[in-house]
Amino acid sequence: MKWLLFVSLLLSGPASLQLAYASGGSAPNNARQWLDSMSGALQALNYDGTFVYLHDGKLEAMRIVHEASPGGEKERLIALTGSAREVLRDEKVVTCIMPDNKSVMVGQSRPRQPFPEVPEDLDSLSPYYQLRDAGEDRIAGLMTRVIDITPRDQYRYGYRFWVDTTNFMLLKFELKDVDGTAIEQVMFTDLKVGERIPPATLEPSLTGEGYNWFRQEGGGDAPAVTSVQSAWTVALLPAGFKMTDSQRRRVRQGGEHAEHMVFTDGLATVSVYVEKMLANQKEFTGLSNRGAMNAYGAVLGDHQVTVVGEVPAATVQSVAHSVSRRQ
Amino acid sequence: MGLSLMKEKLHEQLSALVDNELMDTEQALLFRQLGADAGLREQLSRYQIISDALQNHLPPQVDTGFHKGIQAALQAEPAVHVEGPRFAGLIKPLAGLAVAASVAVVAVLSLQSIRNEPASTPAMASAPVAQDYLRADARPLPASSPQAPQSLDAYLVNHNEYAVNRGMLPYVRLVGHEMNVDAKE
Repeated sequence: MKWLLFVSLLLSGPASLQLAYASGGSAPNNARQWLDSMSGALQALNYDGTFVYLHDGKLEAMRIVHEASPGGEKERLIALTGSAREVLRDEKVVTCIMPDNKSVMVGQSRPRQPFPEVPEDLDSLSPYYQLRDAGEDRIAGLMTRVIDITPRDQYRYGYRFWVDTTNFMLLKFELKDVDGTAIEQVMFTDLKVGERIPPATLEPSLTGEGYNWFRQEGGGDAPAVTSVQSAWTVALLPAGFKMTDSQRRRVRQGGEHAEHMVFTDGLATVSVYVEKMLANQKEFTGLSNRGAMNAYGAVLGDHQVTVVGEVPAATVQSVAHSVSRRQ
Repeated sequence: MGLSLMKEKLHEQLSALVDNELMDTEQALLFRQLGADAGLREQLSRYQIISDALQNHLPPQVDTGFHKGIQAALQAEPAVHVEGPRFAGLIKPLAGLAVAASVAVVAVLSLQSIRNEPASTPAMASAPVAQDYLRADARPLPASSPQAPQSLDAYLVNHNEYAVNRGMLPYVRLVGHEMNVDAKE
């Protein structure tokens, strides 16, 4: 059966994604194949584009530059409206430059996996989501295929992708509530695909000099992270969510080590952080959000519980309230 | 007129200004308000950049601080001249550069119309959800905490790398979010 393992490795690696993209002539046959092709294009192509991001009635413009080379992927995201925030990401680290509070955060990047990650066979998703080819649509004069992922309960979000029918680039994206209400929208207004990326385009425009730098563990030269069995448990999770990671790491500057548990249903991911509070630490309780990314804070004795995920507010809240110390 | 209605009207006028469709009488009044309201100038700047993004006219280096130029010009300008032709001349090149904020407005409207669409999803199959989970969900949701700690961003960066849909997409939220810089731990 060794050959089977080899084939499956080949199929799950970036090479197959490049192939998926290169085989542009043979159109994907179903919704799943469209998503695979899109995932491959986002990873394997060079592109430089401007897009708008709509959320909570606000509209922001951003630029993304992505380079795929034998050395790996490199990408840069730049805010064009408001404060000049930037995120740079390569195979090893992700660097966030935040001029608003003069801080630079360096985290560990993890290799991107095809989207959705877990189920090669869609069946394992189907109790929780419905995947559908919703036909063709035109975006900025380009023909796209619309792929819908609809949640079957209110504990997760739905997704709609507009995929370029010629190069499989994602031209538009929507995140939706269970009733189909759009919560977030990303839409390219200008996109150059397949051109050489000048190296300077991937350099940060801010040096971060005089900024407060923080390296998360595993980020850059910071110490590596070790997997642990968490001292905490989460009792209530929406059906289908399984734990995929459990680690101990220092996540925020000046904080104690946090226990980090990751749960996913194959599409949505929820992180649970439990961290011993310092004497002068301000509690974070209740809901907060960054666009459709919800966060819920709760205090458990002398520990701060923080749950974040691209799931509805009710989900992060319920998860946060069900954390307890392992007996 | 209520405060929110007034604000809405002002934003409509900003959009019309960027479109070069504002009547002269309205323009004079809007300029006065722009001179007095930093938030409004910020909004104008955003409209300009966004409409430019939508029109693909964005210069390689966007000067996000150019509303500050308007502010400086307004401060230098004696109040009596605000309605005069000299100021109109100052705004013209900006309007020429950016044009059509209405495109941005249309985009916002289209999102709103999506929000109002009846659910087009087929009937939901009942997923096997833990009974306890349903009970937990019955708790009323408190309002969003306005004082989320800045360290939340550190958690989000860390979480993004574990999210299934990895790559830059999740970072759009971090870059696009208006951070409350006053919130300190």
